[in-house]
Amino acid sequence: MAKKVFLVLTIMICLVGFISASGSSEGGSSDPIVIGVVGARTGDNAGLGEMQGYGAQLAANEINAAGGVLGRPIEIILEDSQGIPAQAVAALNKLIYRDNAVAIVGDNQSSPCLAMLPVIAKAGIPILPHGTALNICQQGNPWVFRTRANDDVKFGALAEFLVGEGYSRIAVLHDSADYGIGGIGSIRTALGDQADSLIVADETFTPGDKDFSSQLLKIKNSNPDVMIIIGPMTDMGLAMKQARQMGIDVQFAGGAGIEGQTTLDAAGGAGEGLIFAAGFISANPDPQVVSFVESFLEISGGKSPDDFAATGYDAVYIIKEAIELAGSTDGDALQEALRNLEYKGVEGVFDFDEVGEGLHSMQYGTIKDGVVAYFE
Amino acid sequence: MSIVSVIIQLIVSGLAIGSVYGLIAIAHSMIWSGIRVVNFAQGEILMIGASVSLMYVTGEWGARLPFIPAAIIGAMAAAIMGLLIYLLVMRPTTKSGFLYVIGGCVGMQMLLQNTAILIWGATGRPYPAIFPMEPVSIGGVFIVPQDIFILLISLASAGILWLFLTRTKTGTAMRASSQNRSVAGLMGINHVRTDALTIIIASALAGIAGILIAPKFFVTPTMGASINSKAFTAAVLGGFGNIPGAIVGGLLLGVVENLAGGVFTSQAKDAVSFIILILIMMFKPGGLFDAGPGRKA
Amino acid sequence: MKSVNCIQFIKKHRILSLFVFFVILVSGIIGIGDPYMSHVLIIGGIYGFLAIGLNVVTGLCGQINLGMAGFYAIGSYTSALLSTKLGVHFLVAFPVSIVFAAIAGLIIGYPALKVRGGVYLVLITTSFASIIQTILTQWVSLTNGPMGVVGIESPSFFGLTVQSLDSWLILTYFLLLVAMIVGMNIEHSRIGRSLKAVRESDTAAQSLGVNLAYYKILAFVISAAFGGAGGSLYAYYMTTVSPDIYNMNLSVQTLTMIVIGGVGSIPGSILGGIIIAVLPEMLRFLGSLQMVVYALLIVMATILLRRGLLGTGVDAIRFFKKALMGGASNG
Repeated sequence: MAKKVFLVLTIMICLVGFISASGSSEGGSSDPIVIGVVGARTGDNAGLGEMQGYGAQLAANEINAAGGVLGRPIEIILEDSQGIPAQAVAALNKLIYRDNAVAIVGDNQSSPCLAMLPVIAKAGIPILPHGTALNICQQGNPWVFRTRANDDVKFGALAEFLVGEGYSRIAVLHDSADYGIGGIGSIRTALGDQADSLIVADETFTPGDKDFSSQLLKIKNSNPDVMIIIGPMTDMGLAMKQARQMGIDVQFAGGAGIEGQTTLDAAGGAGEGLIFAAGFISANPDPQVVSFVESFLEISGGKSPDDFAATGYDAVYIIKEAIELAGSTDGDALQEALRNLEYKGVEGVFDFDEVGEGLHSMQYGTIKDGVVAYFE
Repeated sequence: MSIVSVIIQLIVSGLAIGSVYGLIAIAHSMIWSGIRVVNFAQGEILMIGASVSLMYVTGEWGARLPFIPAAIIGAMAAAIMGLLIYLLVMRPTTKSGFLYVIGGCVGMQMLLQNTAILIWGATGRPYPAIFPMEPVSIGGVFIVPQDIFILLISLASAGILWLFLTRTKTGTAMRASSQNRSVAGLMGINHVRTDALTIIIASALAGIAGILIAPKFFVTPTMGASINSKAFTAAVLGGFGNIPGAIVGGLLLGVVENLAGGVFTSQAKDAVSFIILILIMMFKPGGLFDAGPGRKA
Repeated sequence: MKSVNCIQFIKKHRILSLFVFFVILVSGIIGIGDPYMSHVLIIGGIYGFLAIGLNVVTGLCGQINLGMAGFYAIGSYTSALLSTKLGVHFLVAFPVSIVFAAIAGLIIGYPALKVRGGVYLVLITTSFASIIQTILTQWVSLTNGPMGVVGIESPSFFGLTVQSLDSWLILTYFLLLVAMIVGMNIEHSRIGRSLKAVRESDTAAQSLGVNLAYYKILAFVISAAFGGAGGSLYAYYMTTVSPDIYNMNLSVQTLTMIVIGGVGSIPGSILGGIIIAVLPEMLRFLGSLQMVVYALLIVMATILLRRGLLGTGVDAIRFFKKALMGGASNG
């Protein structure tokens, strides 16, 4: 029976030897600088990682074509987190300790980001997360530099904007995940004392649940003049489509993602005329954005860029700028450089404050003839 | 809007989605009563049906076909995939035990979802509108014709299946085989043939369900998982293995879920189906239409 | 199950003791000093708790349970909330988490008793896990809802804080070792024999005087306790929890662990847990094919490994040995 032991030992060594075999090497002076990108590339939120990956890769291609940074090319390593915290941490550890990544971009969702923060603090390299939950930055982790506007900025600005436009009966349809619950919380915070009188309906749905008839009926009965939708892209699109089918003829509004191609496809025309607040608007006439959109369509095979694409792209450029400013890829120097950096990307101007929030302003857009346009 | 018209509207949309649950629930019940296995990857069969038919509707895979031939190809793809899963995974694992069937099917589910991501991408695609979507107002109640079409086609598919099972020789053989395998064998019924036929028909039904909801929802690699778990619940509610029970269970689940969400809070929508299920399990352990204590599920 | 028996136990089950020794040794050698490997092995160790738990109820007692995520969630949240809201120490929070999970096992064990057969059990246990997840998501005032609980203090013993990956590796595998000894004690005790009798045949066990209801519920309680222990460790290790991970996938993954490790084999559970954690990492180099190949391997393992990796391996060695010996004696 000692064979059993021998067998186990062999299996274990084979298993683990495999990973150890993909060993690490010290970076030389002309070796590529590795930037690790963590995001869900399989599972329910695979779409987010797909766009983020294209954005990051595009930025690296452009930087390398222009001669790299500090004379070294940038290498993007994409790792799949499946949107699961433990997997995100595994991916992160691999990027830090196997691939010697100098900085991390991602994850797209908040709960994997939260799980990665302690590891980041131990490793001492910067992370540029895309999750928008407030508590990612509020924990006071000095290595966090968020490249998207947080929920308070995004949904607070949207709510105030809508009230300013004269809407007074707001219905909110949101998912029961962190994005939706955080979103409605930010809307309530922004509206303050008036929240209870302005919000006439507050309905939730489970992400991935594709039939919204009962929630929409309640919203219809509350007789709103604007409906804010917060959730996964497909779900938001379907909600708009089903709302129109039920005869809810009100203004639709939402945060970044509601203008994404997936959402509009799912909405099937119902997205026309919606109002959205986002860091990135692909209709921006700024030449930097125009050239980004053009190159992105090429690299993605015709998928138009959304918030996640833009933030992946900006994040890699921000890291490049920080490396140039610091003159090295050392963690402490990068942290210092990021703190002092001011950079204009496709999402707007980044200026990281003491908790690491980089983007403080919002832009407003609409959908005109099926494509994104500025709201006027 | 009066409360009555709200409730009518909730019931109508509940019936539409419930009939789709019912169709997949029938697939589960047929397979169980016929072969005594469960295909936990049924949701992915549904996804394959919808995705493949979409390829022909949009013309991405060569020919651009009208809806009905494309739907038939989709249902056939679903049937073939179902048969493959049965032959490659369910049959070999049945001998090892129920646990292994679940494990194998769940692995298959992962495999199909991830392969679908490789082929069709992760973000999902819209399915062109097949049925009229413009809502019709009947006495203040808004009804989407699409919902009525979904309901009618589901019920018609279930009806045709029932006629096939009761009125044709092959169907009778399948039912006989599901009631008593050894006696049916003695009567000269070929099990290999009836088993394969059961799987093919059940998988095609799941494929049809996928195609029916595709225009209402969206075609994504993971579209089948959540709807399949609801359908499985519906099948158990109706008494697992009971085909008319499955469709009733589906309709019931769809309506109750919608009413709970619409009348109480939207949070109740998810919890209610589980709570009802646990209650029914406790007081009527064999489902609403119990086949009797002799038949263990 | 008396602690005195421990030494006797080791004497009696030398192979298993050796097994544990090797697993821990190998994990230690490979893990220590290598953060990437350590993390994967710690997660694998935590999975081991889940797998042992499932093996008690499913492997020994024959009751299908797809609700392990629910017990895991209760363990995690009990620890997370006790630690962050009340500042309770690990040494208190850890056992309390186990007790809370066990109570949940008692609650789900009762309806599970009523149903007839596997299909209904699948449904009732998945529903239970879904209800737990829904509560964690929606009871925002207690659980902070989907935003999750952050900043769980690392446990400290006598002034030493378990914070580094190395110390976590040691703590996890030490507790896993304890869990395994407890699990094997249960297996070889009267309880274990009764559970196995229930698995083989309800009616026969009953006619032998085994109280069916008692043992079926007990199996769920024990299973839940192991799940809760794993959940508690997960919360302390990750320092943050959120309701989204306690889903159906996790329960199903646990089932895969015991299928791979060996249904009914407590040491196999640990192997299964580690493999399920390590395998996806081994396949990372495949890029976008990673999960496809992983799924394919899982399907093949389920079909081919009827007795789990351990059992099949022993069979194979025996087979070759017989073939070699046979050849030698004939020649």
